Amino acid sequence: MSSPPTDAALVAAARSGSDAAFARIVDRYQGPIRTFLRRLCPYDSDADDLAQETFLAGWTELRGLREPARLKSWLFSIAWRKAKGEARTMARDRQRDHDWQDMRPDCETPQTEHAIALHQALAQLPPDQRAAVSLCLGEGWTHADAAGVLDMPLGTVKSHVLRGRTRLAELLGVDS
Amino acid sequence: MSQPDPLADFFAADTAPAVDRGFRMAVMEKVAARRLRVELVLRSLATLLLLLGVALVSPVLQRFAQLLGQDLSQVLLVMLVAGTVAYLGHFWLTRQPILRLPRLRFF
Repeated sequence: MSSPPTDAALVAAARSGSDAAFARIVDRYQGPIRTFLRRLCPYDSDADDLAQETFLAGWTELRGLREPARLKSWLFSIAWRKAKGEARTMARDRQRDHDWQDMRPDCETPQTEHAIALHQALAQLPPDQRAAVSLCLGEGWTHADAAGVLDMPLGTVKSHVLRGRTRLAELLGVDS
Repeated sequence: MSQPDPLADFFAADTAPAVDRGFRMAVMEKVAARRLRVELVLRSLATLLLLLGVALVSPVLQRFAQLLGQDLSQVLLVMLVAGTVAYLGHFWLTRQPILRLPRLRFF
């Protein structure tokens, strides 16, 4: 059985015009990227729109990717930039859409009590802290890798994760 | 032995689907739309440059045609019509254009 292609191989194929290779990149990273953005955005639909914009920007800027093996970090850094850029717009639109969102079925909202509680607790954290916590505690990234993605000093990320963990544990009623 | 992280259960319960075909299709549609827009702009620019070039050399071409004289111009006209008919005939039979514009790929 052949092993799946590496990120570098997929990037090379996508750069040469292969839509199939880019679709495989989307399939490989859509889950983590959407999860990350859903933890940063108040609504899943906003997060998924941002995730689509992230992959579209990735396709456009693919030739500028210097280290294809670091594709995942690169996509996450685009997602973080998009999330920061859209945060203001979303905050402005949130009130306008609030009533309509409330009338929608629950298909977009988390299904389990744990997930609902986590969403509510994460919403209490500042965006930078939420992003650091999502990457390091949610996705299992190292502090150094998260610092690279979020473009923050290593010490800041460590501090965000430590404070975020304590605050989350407090809000969720578990031992930190 | 290290204790399990009490927050891990919360994060594990809150994950997006690993692979969502609808999401992938939405992304690829946007990619196709962007590629189309870029190619349209590039081809429009290329056409504009071509028309500009023809407009610039048209006085020279007109003078050249006058120098060739009436008889040779008629021969050229016959060759042009014959070539067009041959091209269209080939296209009708094979459904394959002899001249194919290259795909402009900038990404």
